[in-house]
Amino acid sequence: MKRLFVGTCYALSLSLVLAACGSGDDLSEETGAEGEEAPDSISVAMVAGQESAAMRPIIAEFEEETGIEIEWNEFDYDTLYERIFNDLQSGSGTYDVIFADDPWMPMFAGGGYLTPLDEFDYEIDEDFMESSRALTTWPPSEGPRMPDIDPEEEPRHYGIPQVGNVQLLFWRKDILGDEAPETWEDAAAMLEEHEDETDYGFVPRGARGNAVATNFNAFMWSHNGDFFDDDWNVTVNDSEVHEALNRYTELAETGPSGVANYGADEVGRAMSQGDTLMAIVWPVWAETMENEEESEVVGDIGYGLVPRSEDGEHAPQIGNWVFAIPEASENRRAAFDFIEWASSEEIQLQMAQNGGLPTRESVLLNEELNEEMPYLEAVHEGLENAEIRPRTPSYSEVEETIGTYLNQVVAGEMSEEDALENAASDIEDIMESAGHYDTE
Amino acid sequence: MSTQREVGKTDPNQHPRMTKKTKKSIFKHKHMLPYWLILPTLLLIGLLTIVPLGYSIYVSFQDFDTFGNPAGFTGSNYADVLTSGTYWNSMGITFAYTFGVVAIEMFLGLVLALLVSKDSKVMGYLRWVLIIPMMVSPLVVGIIFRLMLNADMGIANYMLSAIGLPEINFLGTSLNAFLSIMLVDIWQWTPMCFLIILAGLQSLPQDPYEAARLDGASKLQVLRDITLPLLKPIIVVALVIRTMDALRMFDQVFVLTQGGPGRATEVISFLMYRVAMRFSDFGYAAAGLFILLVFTILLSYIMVRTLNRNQKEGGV
Repeated sequence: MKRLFVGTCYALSLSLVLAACGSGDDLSEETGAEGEEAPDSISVAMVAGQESAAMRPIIAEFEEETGIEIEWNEFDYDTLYERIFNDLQSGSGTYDVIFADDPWMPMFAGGGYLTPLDEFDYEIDEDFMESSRALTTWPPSEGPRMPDIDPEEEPRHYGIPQVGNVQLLFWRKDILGDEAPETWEDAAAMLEEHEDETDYGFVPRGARGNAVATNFNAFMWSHNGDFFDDDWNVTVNDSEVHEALNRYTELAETGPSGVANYGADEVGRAMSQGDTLMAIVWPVWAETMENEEESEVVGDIGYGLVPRSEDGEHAPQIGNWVFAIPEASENRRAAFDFIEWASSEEIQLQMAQNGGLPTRESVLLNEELNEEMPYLEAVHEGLENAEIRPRTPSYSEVEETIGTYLNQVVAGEMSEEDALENAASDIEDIMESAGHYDTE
Repeated sequence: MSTQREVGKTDPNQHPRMTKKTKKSIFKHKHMLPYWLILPTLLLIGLLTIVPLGYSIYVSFQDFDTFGNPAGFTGSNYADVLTSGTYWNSMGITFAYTFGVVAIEMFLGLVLALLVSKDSKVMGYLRWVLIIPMMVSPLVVGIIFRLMLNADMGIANYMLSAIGLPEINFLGTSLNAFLSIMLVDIWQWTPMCFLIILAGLQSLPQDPYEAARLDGASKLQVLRDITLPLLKPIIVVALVIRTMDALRMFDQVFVLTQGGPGRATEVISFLMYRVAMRFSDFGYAAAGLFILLVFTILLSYIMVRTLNRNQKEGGV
């Protein structure tokens, strides 16, 4: 009896171990890429939040129409990137559709991990905003290209822009008036005139890395500054960028004391609590501003273009979300059908009614919709003026670098000059080791 | 039931066939049984720790291109890590943080354990309350503290100003952010030191205490000459566990500061997470973390060894 018991335990535990070894092997042998046979389900990797909440209720329609079930996987921003990148790099084909933030596209498309959409004879509709369309191509359709890419090579589309995120200026129109400040000088004058009416003037998003870098980009570009020239030479220590940083810190002084740790959440909260005159905010926060339960400023917020410098152009940063299909997916045809359906005018309209941000001009300018969602017009205007981040897979490292130094400036622990000089020299090292200066 | 036992009892001269049979198979050999029983566990441990560890060493010798694709073998990852100012800055922060929090947590844990070690109903409840922080997920703790420590809207500064103290910019300056991260760790993990030391205290033999009482020793003498020496092995266990834990701390920094302001709270785990997951340089990150692992093992080894030597020298 005892031996039987021991034997059974042994067999059981050994089989557990073996099962653990074996589970990786049964990669499905479903129908291939051309997918004549429709799969039962496709799997989507999605970012959690407003973007997903606006789309999730609609996908049942696709399931009914096609009989294909959608596995909807939501992850927070960082986890999403990790999951997608691991999946792409290992070629395991876990996800048939990925939802990618636009700065990830050079890495994903340039690394050869995504399916070019011309394989499905897809031609991107001109109804999508021009700046949104530019984000999904590789090689990039604008800006410098990496040296090993043929400058004549025709860009191909690797995704469809779905969420038309772009930086907006939120301001208190009940205090500052209905008109958005045209220039930074106007903004500064407005803040000074009304400085005693709220706790804070301009609230920057000063936290380290992506937060402060993103916030500052709109200042840099609107002062005619940029990261690189046409040959990837670093230009963040040019006088235009110095001027932009000077303006940024000047406005930041009207903000709260702890801004060196302010991310999007803190800025949004400062704005919705009514303590703040002005901030650069992602449009998804408009929903919060107009929500009676979460906001003290319902109806008091104006949505408009991020200001420009006296001799510069408006240059809010674009931050679209893009649907794309991994090269390793087993169900690429069905995946394509899904993203084409989801980005159609009809479905984007429904998504916008649920509080999502469309990328199609026809939806952005839809009159009925604009009555309900006062910010969509501003989003349209923003997308028309938007600037895109440099198209290089090294951008996240560049952003982290400049975002670390800018954060020290905001914290008052480094001078503006030192920050930009250090950033320039570090970024040059990054670009060098990533092969941007290789000559053939 | 148990042929083996019968075999053992049987005189081999009487049943030569039986003896032969027992020798035949190691599966049936009595002494082998325990080894066969632990084999599955060993396999599992091997699979879950040794294999990934081996793989990470393999990765640490690999080069990755800009797009995160493996691009052949290289020895330069370790050299790059060891010559990087950023890496040593993070190493300094990690060790300063570890020594700071572990020292304070051990001290507080010991004091608390001594205070509530007496058996009474109140103390029993108090013990429960004291270990609650440990049960909360570190990520949740981070988020709660992020809200509380917000310099302008957080409750911490509201309370400070309510009692007339100056407000503190908790996360907005380098030193304050570093201290705030320590504060969160101390709040969450002092209970663990407390719990381990308390368990140790309650299992101490009572005889030395009675003897000391008869000799008229003061409370302080009892603590210094009996309790602490007896507790030493337990204290070292707590010390080693907490040190290893603190060296790889990640959650609080991830939620509270993202390594900022500047690089003031950029501990090694966070730095390497960014390098691997954001910059796709897995080789560099693996090398950097492997070096941390070597430091961790060395440190733990020294602590355990010190304990063992003291015990042999007749400590306890």
